[in-house]
Amino acid sequence: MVTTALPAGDSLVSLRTTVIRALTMAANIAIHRDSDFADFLAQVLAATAANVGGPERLLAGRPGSWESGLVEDLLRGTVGDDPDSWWTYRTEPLFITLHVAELIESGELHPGLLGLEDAIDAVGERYDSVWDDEEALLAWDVEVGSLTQRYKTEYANYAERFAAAARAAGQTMSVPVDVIIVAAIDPNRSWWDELDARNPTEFDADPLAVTIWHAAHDTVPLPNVDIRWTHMVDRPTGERG
Amino acid sequence: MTDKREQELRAEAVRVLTRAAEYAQQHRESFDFPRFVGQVLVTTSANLGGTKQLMGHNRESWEAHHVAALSWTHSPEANLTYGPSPVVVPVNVAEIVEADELHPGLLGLDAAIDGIGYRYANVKSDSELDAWDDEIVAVESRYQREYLAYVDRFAAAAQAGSPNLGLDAGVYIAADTNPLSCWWNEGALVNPREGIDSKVVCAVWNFAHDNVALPNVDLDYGESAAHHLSRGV
Repeated sequence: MVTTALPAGDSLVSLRTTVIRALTMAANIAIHRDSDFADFLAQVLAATAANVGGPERLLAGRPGSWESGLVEDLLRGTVGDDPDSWWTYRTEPLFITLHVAELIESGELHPGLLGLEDAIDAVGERYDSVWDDEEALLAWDVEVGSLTQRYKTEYANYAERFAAAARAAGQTMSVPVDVIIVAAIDPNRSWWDELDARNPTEFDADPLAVTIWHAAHDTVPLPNVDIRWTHMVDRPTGERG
Repeated sequence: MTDKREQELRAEAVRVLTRAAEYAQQHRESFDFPRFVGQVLVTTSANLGGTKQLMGHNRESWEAHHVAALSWTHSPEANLTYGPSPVVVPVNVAEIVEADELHPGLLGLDAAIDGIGYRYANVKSDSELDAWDDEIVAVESRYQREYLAYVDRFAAAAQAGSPNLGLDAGVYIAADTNPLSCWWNEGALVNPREGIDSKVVCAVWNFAHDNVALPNVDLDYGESAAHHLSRGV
């Protein structure tokens, strides 16, 4: 799941009105207590930055504007430049996407694994010349049905293992982070379109989400999917044991 | 105000700014988060009476310099977004209540506190003085609460009516909710003036004002009534 719009009731106008009211009241309190409103605001901005993945991601829209420069200085002065420290200001749960089909199919992490479509194609290759054999066609259907069901079950189970490992990883941080995994477990779910939710990468996601995603990925067993046998199949018959 | 209240305000501010920052990440071409922060601080500063008031007595810290720079460089009349600009409608609740033009029978907070004072004019015992204090605290709290709630209603009405007035970009309410606002001072945020402010701003303000209930403030009973009250009549 990727947020593309404000939640219902959170129009920009209402967000603006709400934050102005909160800051006005906080400033009033600061005046009466002789405390420092600027420090209050700096802490609020630090927490906001941490919630969206750090100062760089907060200011990524229009770097270089004078407002951006002032907010950046305020943030750097508050949280420091150490990327390992800003996330301790986080106040909200960390939402991390898990797209199981992408993990299996993209080829980056596990090039030897087959997605459901490829696995079905591989089954089809074995039934290549059975068009007039009713029994074989039925067996083909059964095998595809069984394969699809296995993939669904395995993807769902994998997401559960992954979520448990990610939550545990979040709790082991020096300041524990509540992790919520938003999982796409449909084996037929697309992941290559622009609007598809994707697994987090260092280029487009909260670095903390990337760290925890990989911690979970490295910990849990992969789903029991089919394997690409290309190399063995391509090997000349005479070389097989 | 308690530490708990301050924590609640901090949590609310973080929650809302996080939503705005997430929106900015999804709409980088049309929404600029740092500029949003600057605009928010301009209005916050106006609500307090200016940047100096916003900073209070702590104007020398490095954070204060940055926050002050963010809050005084904007003008509320400046474009508020890189897209279509919403109409900025000022609202000063104290002026609505205290200026005699619209609602001559309503009492501002100062006058309401004076009205309580009439009733305690001849008291001497500690318990009566305590009761006097308690009444003042209660009326201050009620006024603060009512002024904020009034602006909420006012903003909702203005925003609901803005499409009918052809304002596609919406309405932005810049409000002074301080019951002790010195709205008569030069530079104070005041309600729009016909002939000075734009017709659109005046139209939105009048629409909202005509459609929302006034704050629950004390009424002016006149001097004779106050005199009777002071005698316990």
